[in-house]
Amino acid sequence: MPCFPLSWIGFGAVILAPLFAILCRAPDMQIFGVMPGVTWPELSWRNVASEHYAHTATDVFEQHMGLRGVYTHLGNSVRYHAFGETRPSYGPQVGQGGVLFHSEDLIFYSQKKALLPSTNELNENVKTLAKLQRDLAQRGQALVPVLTPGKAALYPSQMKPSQRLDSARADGRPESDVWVYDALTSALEAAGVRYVDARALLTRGPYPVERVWGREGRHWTHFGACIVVRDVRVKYTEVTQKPLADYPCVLDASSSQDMLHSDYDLLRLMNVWGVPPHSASEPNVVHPGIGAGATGPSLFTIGTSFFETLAWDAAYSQSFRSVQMNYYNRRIFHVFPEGEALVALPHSEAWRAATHGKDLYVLDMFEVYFPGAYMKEFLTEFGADMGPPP
Amino acid sequence: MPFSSLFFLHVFLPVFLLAYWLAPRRYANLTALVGSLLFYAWGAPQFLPVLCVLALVDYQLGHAIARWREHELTRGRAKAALTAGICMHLGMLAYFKYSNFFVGEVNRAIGRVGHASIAWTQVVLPIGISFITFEEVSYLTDVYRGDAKPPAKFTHYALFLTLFPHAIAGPIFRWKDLQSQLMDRSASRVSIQRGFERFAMGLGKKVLLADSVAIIADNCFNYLPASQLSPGLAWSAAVAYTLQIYFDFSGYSDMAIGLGAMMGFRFKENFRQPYLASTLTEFWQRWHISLSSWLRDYLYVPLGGNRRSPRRALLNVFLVFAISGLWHGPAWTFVAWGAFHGIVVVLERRFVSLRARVPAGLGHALTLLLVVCGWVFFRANSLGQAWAFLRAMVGFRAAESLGILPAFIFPRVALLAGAVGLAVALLPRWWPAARMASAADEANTAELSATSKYAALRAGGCVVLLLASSVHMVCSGTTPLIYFKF
Repeated sequence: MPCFPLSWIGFGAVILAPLFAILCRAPDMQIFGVMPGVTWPELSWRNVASEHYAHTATDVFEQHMGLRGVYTHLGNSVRYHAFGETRPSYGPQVGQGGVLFHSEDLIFYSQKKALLPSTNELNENVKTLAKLQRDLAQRGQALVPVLTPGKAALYPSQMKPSQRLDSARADGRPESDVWVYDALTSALEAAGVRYVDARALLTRGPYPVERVWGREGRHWTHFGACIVVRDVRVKYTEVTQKPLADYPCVLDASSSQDMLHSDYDLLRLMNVWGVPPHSASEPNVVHPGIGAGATGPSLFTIGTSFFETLAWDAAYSQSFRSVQMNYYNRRIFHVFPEGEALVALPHSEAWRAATHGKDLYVLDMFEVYFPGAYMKEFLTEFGADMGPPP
Repeated sequence: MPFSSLFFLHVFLPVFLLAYWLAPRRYANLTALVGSLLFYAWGAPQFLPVLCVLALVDYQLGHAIARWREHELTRGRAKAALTAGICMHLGMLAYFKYSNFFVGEVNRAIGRVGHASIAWTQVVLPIGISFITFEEVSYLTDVYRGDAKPPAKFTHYALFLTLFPHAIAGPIFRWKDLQSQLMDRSASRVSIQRGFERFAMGLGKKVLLADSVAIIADNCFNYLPASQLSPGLAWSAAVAYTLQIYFDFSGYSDMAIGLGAMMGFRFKENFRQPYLASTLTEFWQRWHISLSSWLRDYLYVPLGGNRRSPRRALLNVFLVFAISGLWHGPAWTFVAWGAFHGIVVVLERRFVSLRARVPAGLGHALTLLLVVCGWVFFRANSLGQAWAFLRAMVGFRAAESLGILPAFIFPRVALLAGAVGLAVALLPRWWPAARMASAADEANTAELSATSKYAALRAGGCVVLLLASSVHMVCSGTTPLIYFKF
């Protein structure tokens, strides 16, 4: 039976390949989006006798399995090219014409009213925000909230019919728009809060949508972030009456980025072969004519990964005295552009030194996460620590 | 450690097989026993001593029963020993599997009349205890009946109980079926080849088909409230689960049979295309055969079977099915599932002449319908949810619009897996040639593997299936085997 030895080699190869790849330290493909790995548990009688040891050891093997990157790319590529999809509810989802969405954006867009924040909850947050903005303004400082849109707001027609639910409303608008975006803008205006409506800036501006938000990116582009920073500076002046220089956002066509550029983050996360990015390069943004960093306001941002691009742009422009980011209010304060980080617990001296005394506080109100815990926590902690206005 | 895990496939299996095949023949059982104990200990080391003690007690008890049953004077002792053994095993099963449920129900009842709850620490269910208990009971009973001899060596009995291909989720073996193989077997090239192919087919069924259609069933049963269930969604979920449980469990049984073949064992079939059955009675002759035959021989027959009045026989049938439901899990949904099957089988027996007049095609359709409805009880998280699904299936429309994106409930991969699953499960009824393609759960695989001119093609296909399953497990992970929790 000539097929026996041959098929045995096949079976053996499939079964043994990952183990051999580990033992031989065979090169593998990088997988993007993998969380920090588990470490091999300590070998002792006590450990081995517990169920935990087996589970951890299994996890370690599965995370470090030889050829895992190749297998991941192979499986994902078959699914993408044969079926035009990724795993259900996995981060990147394939929309019309290859536009990629994050599953959270899709879910939020079609969210039912019962699962959206209530009017009371929304008004409470706006009230806290308005008070803090007023208190800071009395000290000559500004707090500027930014209404950060989800990607579905910019690419609504790029969602596949199966990726959206029909709205039960007569006007056809999604409940999320009505009960978050509309309700929030109305409440902020009623409370007299100065804010940046990034959705309006990015969708109603003169720029093509792909320039402000990449087809393969979860976040706005560098250019989109620059436009938001520009409006933040306008609102700063309105709140504090301190004029700032113009903030030009000019595309630098000569510079380009590789696949590691943030505009391709969803594409990278798919870990798929044979899907080139929509545009081979992304121009950088430059800010000609400004560079008086020493005299600009100090910037402190609180928010999601959207604000990383925003902080980078602010730092590169050199028009801010300093740029810091409090990522999800995790008490880690990143200093841009050096990337140093300071860890401090709320109300500690280090925390006060990091948070107090800034000229401009920018708060990310990402609609998909609204009202995010990070936002409520920071407003409460900071507001309580600030004391009464002078 | 499920078979459909990367650690099993790429570490345990090759290391064990190499050790097993390289070991001298006289050490084959010892190697298999060490491997099986390691396999069991990997997931539940704390229960290994319990298992070993039970095996030792059974071994001694079996010998004592065999000795005592030989003489008229000591036959009473044999019966007492058998009763004690059965009580011990059923007591263990009751404690580990049903005490949480029982205390929970009592607490709920006394809570209604204002009494304080009974303080209770949740008991952890040892993996595979339901299957192992049935095997131990059948061993003692067979020895008592004189249908089997007790093992000559303790290692034989310990291996029978712990043999890893079947230890944690069946099929349910009987000592008398495996005894001779434990003493003398050899893994030939043909059996190893057949084993690999069967294992690959089983893994493919579990990972590629069952886990894919599980997305549809899980999304509907876990995340959709009753108010959002439309007839289409309810039917999709029920059909998806019908396919999931079949490919999940029959795939696992295929893997177990395949692994056994690699070690030189010949395990009995556990599934014979159950969704081709024309009656529910026939369905149970094709579904989880090792369980239904066990229930027949060790429960239905001792209850009196059909040796008493026809009415008593029908009552026995119903009792067996209700107990079978409870065996699957301590929940009212399982009891309802068992009772539902029991009632239908009783009706089939009662109106046997009417049943005979139903055309085969119509009978098949009706049986499928009943089986699908039955699985709704089996899968539902509560009787209320089962009722909501059944109401939706008969046309009660949803009051609210859907809350989950269709792309997440019905990914194309899951729809394709569902279509392939339906074809594999149902096509052989109309197209006998398809039986060859879906022959994984047919006993004729042996002849197919060695002599068919398609042997090379099939072997190649199985290698591809193995690779595809491994890739799928890396990309998407695996859903735990449904029968693990029983």
